[in-house]
Amino acid sequence: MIKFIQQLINGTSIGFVYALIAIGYSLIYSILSFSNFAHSTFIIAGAYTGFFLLTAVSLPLPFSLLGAIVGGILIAVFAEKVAYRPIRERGNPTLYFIIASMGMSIFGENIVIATIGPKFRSYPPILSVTAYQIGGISISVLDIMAAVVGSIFLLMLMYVVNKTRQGMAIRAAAFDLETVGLMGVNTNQLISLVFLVAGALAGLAGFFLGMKYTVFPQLGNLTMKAYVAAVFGGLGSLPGAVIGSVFLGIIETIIAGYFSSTLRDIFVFALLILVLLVRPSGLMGAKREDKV
Amino acid sequence: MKKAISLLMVMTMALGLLTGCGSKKAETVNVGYLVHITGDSALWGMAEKNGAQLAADEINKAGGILGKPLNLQFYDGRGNSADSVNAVKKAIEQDKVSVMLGSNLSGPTIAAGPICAENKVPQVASFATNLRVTSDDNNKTLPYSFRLCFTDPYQGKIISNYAIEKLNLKKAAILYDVTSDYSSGICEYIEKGYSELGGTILTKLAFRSGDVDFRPQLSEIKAQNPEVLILPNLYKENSLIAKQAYDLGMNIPMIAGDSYSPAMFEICPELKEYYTVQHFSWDDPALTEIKTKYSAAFKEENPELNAAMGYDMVYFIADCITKANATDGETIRKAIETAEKVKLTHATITIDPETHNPLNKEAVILLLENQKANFVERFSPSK
Repeated sequence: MIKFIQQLINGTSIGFVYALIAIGYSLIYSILSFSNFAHSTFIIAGAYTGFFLLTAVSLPLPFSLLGAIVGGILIAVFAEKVAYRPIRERGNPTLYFIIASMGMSIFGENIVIATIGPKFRSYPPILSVTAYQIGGISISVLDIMAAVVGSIFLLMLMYVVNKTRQGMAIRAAAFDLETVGLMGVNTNQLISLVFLVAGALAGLAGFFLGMKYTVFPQLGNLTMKAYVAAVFGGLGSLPGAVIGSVFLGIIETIIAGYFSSTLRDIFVFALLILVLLVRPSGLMGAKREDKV
Repeated sequence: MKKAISLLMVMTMALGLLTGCGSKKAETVNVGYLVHITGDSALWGMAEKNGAQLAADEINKAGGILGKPLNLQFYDGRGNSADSVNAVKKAIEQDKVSVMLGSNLSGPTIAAGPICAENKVPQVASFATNLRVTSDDNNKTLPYSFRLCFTDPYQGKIISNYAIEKLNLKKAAILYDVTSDYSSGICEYIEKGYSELGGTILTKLAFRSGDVDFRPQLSEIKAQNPEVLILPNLYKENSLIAKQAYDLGMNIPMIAGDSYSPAMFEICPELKEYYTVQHFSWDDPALTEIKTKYSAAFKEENPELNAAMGYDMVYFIADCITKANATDGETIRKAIETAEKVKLTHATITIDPETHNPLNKEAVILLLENQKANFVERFSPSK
């Protein structure tokens, strides 16, 4: 029983990091209706910014964390301005967005290899206590921190989306971007805002990933799992992304722990295909015609 | 008259050529050494070459081999198979070497193997750890190929023997990379060793390369309560595993293969009771002399460990040629095959005639603790 509870905790903590990635990804999908593969680049930007602020500049933890978020935001907004906006303004098909985002993701990974190097780098040990032991169950301090900070950001995001004017514009744009533009909303500004939020969450996720698993150019590959989580939960739905992520984290943990990690990815992706067949809009997703 | 002069000239030239060849063959022992001194792996190739040169100079100062000077020539394989094949062809066909040493890379060494075999020139690899260096696809031993390093899977034998015989840790758990040949090869030998020596593998769990979270597997392992955690993986994964194991409250000894890197302490500063199996270590007191000589000769404070391998390779072949008392490839081949207890600086080598790999070769055991690698001892399995 203790083992099972431990596995649930392990899975939830993995799921929380997936959630930070999945939400930003889901948000961009809901507005622009395409899979933003460049999301991994935003994560790497956050992870490396945090790393350099902690090691080279020796900033304290909270400031480095903010710096990582800013790093994620800068890259995300930059990517939107340089790559996506020109494509959008020319009215090119969605496929072009996907290709551009794949290109950026590969570019991002390789520019890091070329400039910073392919080596694994580890965050300096910041926390004096790394884990609490309660009756044979261990909870990592970093996981608690990630859960708390992550929840604060998610609640803030929920508030912005549901209660503010900008949030209303985002929700409206998710229904129909063109009509929202006709109603007088500055769509370029709105899309930049969405990328800003996605970049911030990705930067935050990158920082936690870096602290937990070291920093390396392929760190962003984890995004693939967050995509799956977002589809589970229902693309375009924010609570869906969170639920899908935690669900995926727990399933992965239980399969790797009780069966075999060789089966883990087979099972996860088989489940993904099943979800797409039986319930194409995911657990909580809105009905949509085209899904990429 | 003109005709006579030209005939005379041709004859002198031919005579010159003949004596040239004859005298060279009679006076020196020709040994070729395939090194990779340009390309990606130049750093290690250069160290090996310099180490070998150091040994050759010493041997020649002491009177050479069989009363003749040792003529050690280096051939650059540039770290790839095609260049290595050409280099070895040149060594054998033009320079008529009796034996071919090297290299430290498996791919080029495997590629050069057939050329050596065709010309009946024995080949002795230095750091090529791939199984195919000394055996073909059907696991049949290649008659002309040998090596002085131990193979990757052999580390599994060292790990299991050391854990049981020296550390008395009979209940083990394995966490390995199911997508890596290196990892699963070692695993096989660990399991064999454990069952032969009366130990138990409580559980053997896998992960996939690229994974960064090992807590699901570690939680399962913790529930089984093993005495030791065996990790035949690369350094990055092992440091993350150690870190996550400590976080889960698992404080048991760990044993790994030759995947040590000082960067491990960056990822997991609290690393303790972590044993690693190495081919060499500069912390081994026996190697101090080579290091001092090397540093003095080449002005390098911290040379790569390949320097010691290059040095010992030359002494090994000198010993075999002396015992063969001949310089033809076939006789030397037999001498290498039956080499027994050849005392070198880093180990005492006996070649296994069955496999052409060193038999029960000693490995260096390092203990990682207090943020540094500590030399424990040299260890070879008892059987």
